[in-house]
Amino acid sequence: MQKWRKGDPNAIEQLVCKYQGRIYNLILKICSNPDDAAELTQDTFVKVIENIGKFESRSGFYTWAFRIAVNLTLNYRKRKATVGFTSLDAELAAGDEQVRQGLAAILSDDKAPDPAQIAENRELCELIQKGIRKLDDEHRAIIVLRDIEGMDYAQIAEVLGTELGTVKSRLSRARAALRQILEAL
Amino acid sequence: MNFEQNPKIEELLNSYIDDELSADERSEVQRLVRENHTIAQRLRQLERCKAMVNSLPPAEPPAEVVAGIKELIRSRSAGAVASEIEKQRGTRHLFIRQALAASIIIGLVGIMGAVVYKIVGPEETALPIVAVNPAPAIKPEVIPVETKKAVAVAAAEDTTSIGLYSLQLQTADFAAVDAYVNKLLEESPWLRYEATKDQPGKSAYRILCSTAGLESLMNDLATVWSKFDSTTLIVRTDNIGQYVTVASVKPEQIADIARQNTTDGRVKLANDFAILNSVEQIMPDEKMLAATDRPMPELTTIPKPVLTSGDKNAATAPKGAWDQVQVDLNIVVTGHK
Repeated sequence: MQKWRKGDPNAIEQLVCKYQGRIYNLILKICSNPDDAAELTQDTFVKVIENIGKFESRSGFYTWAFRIAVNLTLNYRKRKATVGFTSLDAELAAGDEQVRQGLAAILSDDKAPDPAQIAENRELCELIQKGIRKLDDEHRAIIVLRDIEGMDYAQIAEVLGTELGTVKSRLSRARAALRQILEAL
Repeated sequence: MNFEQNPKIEELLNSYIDDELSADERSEVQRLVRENHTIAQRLRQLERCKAMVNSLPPAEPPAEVVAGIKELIRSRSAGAVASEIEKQRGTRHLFIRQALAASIIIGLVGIMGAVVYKIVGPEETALPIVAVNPAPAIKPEVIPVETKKAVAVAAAEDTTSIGLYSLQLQTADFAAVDAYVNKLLEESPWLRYEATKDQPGKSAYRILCSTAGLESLMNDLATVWSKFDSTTLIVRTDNIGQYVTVASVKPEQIADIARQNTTDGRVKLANDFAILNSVEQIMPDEKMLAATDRPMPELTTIPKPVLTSGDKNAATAPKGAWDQVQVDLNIVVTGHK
């Protein structure tokens, strides 16, 4: 960051290489489309670079960049919804029955799930991702920020520009909705 | 327990699994979980759900993201540069138009000023005003052509004649002073003169003599010089219609100027005397001693005047008085109106 601020031309590449993974995944989880995610990632970095002078080091770079990324993505989703967003219901209906049973087992099992086991099960991951996609944008964003990116409530409040209490209640509703969606699969 | 009717409990459980509770709140949640099987079950569901989402493997960003970002920045920068160039071009164009408009306005104001000055300004004088010369511009008195023809045609045709042009003397005792001047000229056979007295209280004399004769005349006039309230010498320059005015001029200064061989020399010395005399008027007690007592290359060296005896014989021609007629001077004596 310091190199970029001092005008090092190679710093752009270093900046992008360092942060693009998390930003791309954040956007991809919210918008659910790799092409859109790639484009929105580019737009996010351009905005980051153009507004680098406004970045205050007291807030973490990720918090600042995530706020830009989430705002761009949610605005993009809103614009796309007005011209006819494709529902995911049809895709969910086509899920594999065996995968569905595996998901139900995890949800009902008293034992804690094994993350490695889930990650290795590509179909199960796909089903969970489909469940996440079924959430509305606000719920999806807060789930991704907390459960995938691991941000604390204060950071989430900063990224979303909301109060801490709103984060608590929204996250609670989002998880409840996701649980219901996954149970229904 | 219906969690939909008790959203605060579900929020508390979520905050518990996210480690966002204080120690007291955590203890309270742990107590609730121990005492209530439904709450405990919901807590496990939330933990599993969170673990599942957290287990999702990250996707690899496409390789073209970096190149795309660079291209976007380059195109936006080029656009910004082009926009800046357009802006600067517009600003420059506006500046040129403003400068042109300002020039036209200034020109118009100048023309209007000249017109107004022409209407209400003072009449033009043929004499230049030396910047440091406090004396008012005086229109040189010129002897009428008819009179000029009557005297000293030879001098008028003499290419070496020194045209000092005019010495204008003003006195409160016109009758006595003019009588003295008239007598002095009559008793100086080495000079030729023509007197014109067509106005009361005003006498004009055109004098033709040598520099030595002029020096002798100035020496004689020095005896009555204190009678003059105003003494002004007007020296002709090589430029037609341009003159140098020396106010408060002294007799020896006139002789010194006449002694210069060239017009440039006379003009330069006249200018120097004009400056010196004006300074003397401003600081009468200081004179010009400080300036003349030490060598100062930027100042003109003032030759000491050669004083002649006050009781010399006016009929005695000074040496070289008739060698060559060189000086052509109009002396105008006026009284106070």
